[in-house]
Amino acid sequence: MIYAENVLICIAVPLVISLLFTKRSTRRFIVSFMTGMIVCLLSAYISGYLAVSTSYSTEEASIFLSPIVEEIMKFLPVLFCFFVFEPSPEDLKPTAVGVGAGFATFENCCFILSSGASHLGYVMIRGLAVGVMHLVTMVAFVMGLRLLKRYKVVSFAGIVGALSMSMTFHGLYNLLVSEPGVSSYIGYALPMLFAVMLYLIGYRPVAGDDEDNL
Amino acid sequence: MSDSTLIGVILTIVQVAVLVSVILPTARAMLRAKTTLISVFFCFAMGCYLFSDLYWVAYDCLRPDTRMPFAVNEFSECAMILFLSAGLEKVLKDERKIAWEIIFSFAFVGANIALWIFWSGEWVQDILFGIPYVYFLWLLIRGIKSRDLLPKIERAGIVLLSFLILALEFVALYSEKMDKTMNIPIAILTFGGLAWLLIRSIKTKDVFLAFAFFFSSIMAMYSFADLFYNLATAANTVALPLMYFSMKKERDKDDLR
Repeated sequence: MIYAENVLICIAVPLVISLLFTKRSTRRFIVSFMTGMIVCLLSAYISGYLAVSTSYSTEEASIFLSPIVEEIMKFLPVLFCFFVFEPSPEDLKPTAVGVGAGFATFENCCFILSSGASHLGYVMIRGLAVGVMHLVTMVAFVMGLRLLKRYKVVSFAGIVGALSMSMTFHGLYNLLVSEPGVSSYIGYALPMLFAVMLYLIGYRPVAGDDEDNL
Repeated sequence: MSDSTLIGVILTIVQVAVLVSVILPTARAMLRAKTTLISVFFCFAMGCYLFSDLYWVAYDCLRPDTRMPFAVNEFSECAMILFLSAGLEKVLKDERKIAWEIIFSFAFVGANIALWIFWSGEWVQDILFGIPYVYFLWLLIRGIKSRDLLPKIERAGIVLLSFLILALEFVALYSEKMDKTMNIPIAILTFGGLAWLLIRSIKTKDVFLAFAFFFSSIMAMYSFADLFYNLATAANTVALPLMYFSMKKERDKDDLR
């Protein structure tokens, strides 16, 4: 058993201190990174509660319910930012990427603390598959929001649609890696393939947008 | 994997191929700025449906012949219906705020939801994810009526047929002995109605009739298992290019609304 709250505090304290020495988009990124970590912890609480209170087994809950809970939880801070601060698409990118990266980092930390990091292959899978998957779903979600905004159709249907695509991608990954063999290899490769695809269709991540912040 | 599931997987893979061939030209047209809002919503809706189909294929291959629990693909299907409804809203020219059609929509989809709950016992998700179908059906009926796509006698016929099918399904539900025997007349009526809608939508190439055919095929998929489910899936696949061509016709009528 690990104490996830203690791990969160340990990682978050230097980040909080770093806010004193950063400005604008770097600060925004750090705040969204920490938000991602907090959201990860809350998702674990909710998923755990659902696993106990429904007829799902622990494995079934992690395959079928976790993607729903995790994507909704990741999506809420980004949606809050989207509607309350009305950022430009360029400003929304670092927020979403920060939430996704924070979520993935904290989840990886907890998994590695509970399972050990002696096996390099396992650590690489966690980093390249699960870690990238959380990032990719957020990037895809923001791309969906940007498209909807471009066509001036930001509506309930649009937001649910963008969220459902992220959820289904996450669910598909969890389902594929739940069984050993070829399906799990497809599952592990899926996030990286999707990340490359998103990059190729024109999404340029945060690079270059915060040189003047320190 | 049973034969029925195998056929289901093959049909879903075919549907994935059809979906890709529908999404690509729609997305290409969007990039060339030849866009109406219905085509934007249609493209998103088909994207959601594609994800849902991929999930089904993965599930059926990894856990064949087991009932899928509540999973993420339900959200995708719900989002698809919401997107299609949003698209239809943009082309519907019916100023009436309250119409009798909403009563029919509630009654028809409500009865279907009741049947789904009896069959599956999953009442929360059946109600929650069934509600968008009420709105979708309401828009379809208003569109068909406002554009005068079907004569009054045919509209009355389809209402009667819908309630007859529902009545037979409830009879089959309550008399377990008749369950198997009732399946055949229900299937004849359902697929007869689907064939009639298919002919009508091919003739008119109207977006409301094509979408109505798609809606009916989904309802048929939810009502049957095994052979008839696979038949309904095939009808659902046929509906996709029909929807695409009708949407294209609508797009060509008028640029960005």
